[in-house]
Amino acid sequence: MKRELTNQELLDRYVHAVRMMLMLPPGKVDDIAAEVRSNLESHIDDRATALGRELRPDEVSAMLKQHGHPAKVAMQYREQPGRSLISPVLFPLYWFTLRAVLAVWVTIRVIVAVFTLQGSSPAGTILLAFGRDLLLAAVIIPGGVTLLFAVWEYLEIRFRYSERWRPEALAPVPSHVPQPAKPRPMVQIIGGIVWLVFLALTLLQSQFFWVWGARGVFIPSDALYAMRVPLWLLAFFWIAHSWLDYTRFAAARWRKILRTGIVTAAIALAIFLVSTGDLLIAGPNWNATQARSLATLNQMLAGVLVLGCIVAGLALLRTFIRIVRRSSNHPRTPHLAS
Amino acid sequence: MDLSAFEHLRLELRRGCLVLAVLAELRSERHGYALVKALREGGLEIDENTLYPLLRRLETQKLLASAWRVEDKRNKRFYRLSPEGRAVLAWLLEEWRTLNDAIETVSEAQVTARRRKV
Repeated sequence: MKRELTNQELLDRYVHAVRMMLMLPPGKVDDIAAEVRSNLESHIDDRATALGRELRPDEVSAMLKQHGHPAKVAMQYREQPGRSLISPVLFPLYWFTLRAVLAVWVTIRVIVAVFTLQGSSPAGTILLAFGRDLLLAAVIIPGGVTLLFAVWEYLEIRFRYSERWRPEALAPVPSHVPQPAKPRPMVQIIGGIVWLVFLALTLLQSQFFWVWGARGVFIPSDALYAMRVPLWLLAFFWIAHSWLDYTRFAAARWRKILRTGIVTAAIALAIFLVSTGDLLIAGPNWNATQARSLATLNQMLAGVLVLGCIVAGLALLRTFIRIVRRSSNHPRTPHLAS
Repeated sequence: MDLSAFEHLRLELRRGCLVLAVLAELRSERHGYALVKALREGGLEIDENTLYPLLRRLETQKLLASAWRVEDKRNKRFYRLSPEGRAVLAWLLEEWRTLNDAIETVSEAQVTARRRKV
């Protein structure tokens, strides 16, 4: 049968546990341990005086438990009780980075898994590998990001480089501050025009596709070639929408509706193209030794399309949620053109 | 009402007051547990694990002085206000009164304005 510990033994064990967790220079540890013991003894004496008898070991045990875990007591005595691995200052950036890295990794891994499923490997094996990678990533990515930020935090504490700044050294304000909404539509317009010209060439000159790749080693698939007109129309509407965004000619609601329509059509088209198989096939100058590179190129193209669909789908979802929230928050507010 | 938000704000409010109360109580010499009891009797419930490290920090800041002494056959550490601590306490009490008056004025002004509207 296990022997019941005496009051003194309970107290000794508690103080010893606090000592072990203090992690301070020996002189300080002895001093703090003596103080913790002294305060607890005073507490026990006080309780005993109130009860008119000695405390039983179970009462001392309950009192120590109420006093707090030795680690918690020790933590309060440390030089920097507020010292954390990642401080509240860095935490928002840490949290954003962690989520972003995880999201990018998961997206890439999903795309890879989808394409591997099309190969000869059994689906079960691929799913197992996916699950294993997911578990590994759940440990490695947070660990790596945390380590990176912990080093950053340490360097900040050690060198205080965030304090070494001067207001005079900050970048000057540019003479012309562009409106936040303006640059994006302009980039969209330029990108759209480039794409439109490229597609227009394919409409006017069907042999244009033959120049694709090094000396025409590959050409677009039949499905991709057949879809050149919808692709051209999409690009045209995208430019029109970007122009409306730039000039704010139409009300924000109509611009959103047009954008939603274009993005939905683009997603549908991308899904159709991916489902038809390879987007590029062997061209007139095709060489059998390049089979692997063509397959890789096709996988990359399909991956870009799938990734684009995911991003566009999320953007659509966000727009939809905003519309629902706005309509539920301000049911009677008339919509204003922004 | 969000009780956790209230609890958080209450703790923040009490944290500053606690230092003032500890310094005021240590105008006469006390050991740690006696100080806990004195504060409790005065209506300030305090976690011992917060108080004891606070005493050490105040001592590091030279606001308190301490000495080990035997009392009731027990070795105890006694704390008392240092001369610097005495000066700081006087300033803090002055600050406390100013703040208290300001809070009173601000809250009273709000009540008066509301009454006028009604």
